[in-house]
Formats: sequence, C-alpha cells, structure tokens
Amino acid sequence: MKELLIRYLPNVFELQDYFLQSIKETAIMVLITGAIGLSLGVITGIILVVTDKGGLYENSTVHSLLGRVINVVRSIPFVILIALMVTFTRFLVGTAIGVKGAIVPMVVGVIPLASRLTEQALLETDPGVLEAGRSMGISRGYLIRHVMIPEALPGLIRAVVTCFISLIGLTAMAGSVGGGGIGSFAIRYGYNRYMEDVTIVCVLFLLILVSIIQSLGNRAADRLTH
Amino acid sequence: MIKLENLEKTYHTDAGDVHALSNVSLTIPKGSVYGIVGASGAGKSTLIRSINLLEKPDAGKVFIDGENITLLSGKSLEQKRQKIGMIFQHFNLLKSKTVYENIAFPLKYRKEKPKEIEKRVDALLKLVDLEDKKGSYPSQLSGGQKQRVAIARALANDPNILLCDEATSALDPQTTASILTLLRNLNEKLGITVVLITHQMSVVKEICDRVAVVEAGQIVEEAQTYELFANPQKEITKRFVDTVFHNDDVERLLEQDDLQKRLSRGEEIWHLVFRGEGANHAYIAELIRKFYLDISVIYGSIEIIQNKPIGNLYVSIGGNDGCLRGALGYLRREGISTEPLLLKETEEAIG
Ligand SMILES: Nc1ncnc2c1ncn2[C@@H]1O[C@H](COP(=O)(O)OP(=O)(O)O)[C@@H](O)[C@H]1O
Ligand SMILES: [Mg+2]
Repeated sequence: MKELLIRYLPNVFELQDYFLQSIKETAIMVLITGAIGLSLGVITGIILVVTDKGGLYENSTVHSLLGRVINVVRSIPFVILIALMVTFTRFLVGTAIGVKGAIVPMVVGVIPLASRLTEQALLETDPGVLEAGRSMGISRGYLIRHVMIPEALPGLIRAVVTCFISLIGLTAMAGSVGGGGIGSFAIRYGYNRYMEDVTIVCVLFLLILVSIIQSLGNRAADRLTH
Repeated sequence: MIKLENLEKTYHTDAGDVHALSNVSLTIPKGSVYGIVGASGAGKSTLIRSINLLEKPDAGKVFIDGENITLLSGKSLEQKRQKIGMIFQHFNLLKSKTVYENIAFPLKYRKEKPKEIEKRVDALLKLVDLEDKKGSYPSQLSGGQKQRVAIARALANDPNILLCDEATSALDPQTTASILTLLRNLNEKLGITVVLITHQMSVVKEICDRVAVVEAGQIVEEAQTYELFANPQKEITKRFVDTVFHNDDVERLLEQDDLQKRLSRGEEIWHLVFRGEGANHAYIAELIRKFYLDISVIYGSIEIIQNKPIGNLYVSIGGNDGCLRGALGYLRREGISTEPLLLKETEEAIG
C-alpha cells in the first residue's frame, strides 16, 4: 500500500500532513460559514417570502429593497467580493488572509444564494394551508414556525445542500487568494509547482465530498416527502 | 346570527379596479344552513372570507351574535376566528403531518393538554368516520377523505359557525353527496350554523334552508330555498334554477329540431311548472277531458326541495284556438305557471 502511494502519488505522500491540515481547514471554513451564512440566508429568505404580495407580513418596501440588495451582492464575482471586503474583513476579524480572513467574504457570498433558494423552497408551499391556519385563529409567527417551514422542509434541505456544495467551491476560490484549505493546497503545490498528482487528488477528494453531501441531502429530503 | 351590513370591497389590480363586493347586506339565521350561489368571479369567496375577516372589507360591518367584529384585531380577532371554522375547495391540509396531527394542530396551538388533545381528536375522527386513517398522510387519502379531515380540523375548536368555500367543487357527485350529508348532520346534531358558497345549484337544493344569489358583487335575490326554486325572480336566478331541472338542456334540444316540425303541424309547446300540492294533481288528464286537447308529454321532472315537490313539464299541445286559450287561463288560475314556448303568430295576443 505504502509503496503504491509512493509510486503513483509521490508528492501527496510527501505532503500528507499539509494535505490533512488543508482538509481540516476546508472543513472548518465550510462548517463555520455554513452555520452563520445559512442561518442569515434562511432568515432573509423567510423575510422575502412573508413580505411578498399576499404574504403574512406583506410589505412591498422591505421586499423590494431586500430583493435589490441580494441581487447586487449576487452579481459580484466572488474573487472581487473578497477584494472589495478586505477593509471590512480586517476590521471584523483582524486579518484578511488565512482561514479567518476567508470566512467573512464567504458568509457574505453565500447569503444571497441561501436566501433565494430558501425563498424558492418556501414559495412551493400552498398558500391555502397558511390561509387555513389563519382561519383557525393561529398567529402569524406560529404559522411561520409550524406550517411554513415544516411544509417546505424537503425543499429547504435541498437548498441547504446546494449552499454547502457551493460553499466548498467558494473555499477553493478563497484558497487561491490566500485563504487556506484544499484550494490553497492545490494551487500552491499542484499548480505552482506542477505536482499533478496533488491536483488530481484534490479534485477527487472534492468530487467525493460533494457527492456524499448531495446524496445524504437527497435521502433526507425524500424521507420527509409524504 | 351573522349579520353583514353594507360591505364594500374593491381590489386594485394592474388591469383596473374590481368591485368584488358592493353594498352587500345579509342576515344569516343562527342554526341554519345558508347557501350563497353565483357564477365564478361573482364575489362569493370574497363575501365568505369577509365573515371571518380573512378579507378586510373596505367599508361596512360584520356582526356575529351582535358583536361588531370589524372592530377587532390581533389577539381578539384570532380568538374570534377560533369559533368560526372554515373549509376550502382544495382542503388545505398540512401535507407534512398525519391526519391525527392535522386535526390536533389547532389544539396544540392553544396548548391543550396532550391527554385532552388525544381524546378530542379521537372523538372528531369518529364524527367524520375516519378512525382507520389516523396515521395516514393527506397524500394517501381520497378527495372526500381529505375534506373529512379538513372538517374535523375545522371543528376542533368547537366553533358555532362553519364556513365552506366551494367545499364540494373538487369532488365527484357521490362524494359530494356524502360530504353534504355530513354537513347536514353537523348542523342538526351540533347546531352549527353552516354557510356555504357554491356555483352548483344541486348543492343548494340538497341542504340549504335559505339562499342568496350573488352577481357582480351584489346580492340580487335572497329567499327560502323552496321559494327560490319555485318562484325565481331575477333572470340569473332562473338560469341557475333551470340547471337543476335541466330546463336549459330541454329547451336547447327543442330548439334544435322538434320545434319547427311541431310548429308546422299547428302544435304548441307549453312549459308548465307545478308547485307544492299542484304537483300531485292530475292536471293533464283534466285538460284533455275538459278542453278536448291533444297533449303529449315531451319531458317531465319532479324535484323534491325542502321536502316539497316542484314539477316541470314540457308538453306539446294541439286543439282549436278557443280551447287552447281556455286551458291556458284555467292553468294560470290554478296557480300553475304556464308559458307557451312558441306561439303561433295569430295567438300572440293571448300571453
Ligand atoms: N386578491 C385579489 N386581487 C385582485 N382581484 C381579486 C382578488 N381576489 C379576488 N379578486 C377578483 O374579485 C372578483 C371576485 O372574486 P371571488 O370572490 O374569488 O369570486 P368567486 O369566489 O365568486 O369566484 C373576481 O373578479 C376576482 O378576479
Ligand atoms: Mg371562489
């Protein structure tokens, strides 16, 4: 086994500690930005839906303002977003590089996607069900928590999965501009030093990770669909 | 008792303003089954949704048992709504929850004790005859079963009023009949006031005590159900009533072929409507005997509405002019509404 690794993946074997370290960094970045970015994104998505025309808290000013901000942020390429945010990032976490520095733009980068996907998932639910709830004298807050979200849960899970997958993509990109993680590792060794086996292993690793997340998410969503 | 006073509602859309309700006033007696009938887009849903203020009228008042609920908002409106159940055309069940959880939903919201909830839900399941579907999800139920779950859920808070927005319009005739029977039973056993809107006159015929007819956001006619069927006043009411008696179909058929042939043979076609006692009397035999007329029945039907019959008869009738005129006068004196469908030119004066 060991001989095989040395023969076919010499550089990966040599750099295995760095490799494991970069996996850890990627995991940390995805989990932290996922937790913060998705929470904020889902909340924004809910606000988008309830302030929409015919929504529980209809408010066209809030709805259109929020929608416009999201569209603007969404249209900025991520690499440019990182550059744009350098000052803010430094102010917030003290540095604009490394894992810590990558987290801030990643959170900002994933919120628009998360909120639009949440919005889509929530819009799939039948407005008639909310109306039935209101006809029973149930408060709007309770309806959001106990009707809107549970009814849209399969769609929401799919949205979360899509966000995590795109976060993995963002970590790789953040890595390329000094953010650490698998992306950093692949660029530094695979690309800059022409260690092809490093590139290949990094790509394979990301592929496997993405498909595991995807299939776990699908299974959970299917199980919740009645 | 539900009392609506001068309700107004206008929707402002890109395509222009829609007056969904204009000056609607209505009194719905406590304990009755009240029908509101009208064509699609007439404003029925807007009207019924203003009873529990799901739709806030622009002007006017809604009284429930003397209380002006248009003044309520927030928590007190929510509490009032708990005593007004509502069911819908598309059932509106929570598809992520089982039958049991759907019915328990309003009780959980009110933080009832789990033991109490279980007892209440079981009783409701029994009431709507769905005890064996407790753990099923809505997607596993037929349309009729879904509506039964919706009814049980609407009754969970023990309401005095049940609003039904086209509750049977998505169901086949047999299932419709069973849901209507259930609603009738709830009304009789629990004393719940049932308000139902529909575009199907057959539903009105089946269970309503009184009916209001809505056209373009206005109430154009209101009467006891039998009266409405027996003596429709407005053109639109007549058209609705005709759908139950199939008079519209008969007249269309007659227009297509028979009429011209019969006309050339010197016959007339009369449409007779018998009400109450009149439906039992042997008028046709009498006409033949007294006025020496040739009569053949083209089409006839009897509908029982609120336990009283209404008969519709289309006859082709031939004889000499004097006798025809005599017969027409006689029937009308007897209170049988009689309308010659097609008059020979010389007899136009009779009408
Ligand atoms: N939310 C709304 N916005 C704009 N127009 C509406 C809305 N709801 C109903 N309408 C319009 O009001 C009229 C009455 O609608 P509705 O009460 O649903 O009629 P019905 O239930 O008799 O079919 C229709 O012309 C409909 O298009
Ligand atoms: Mg309607």
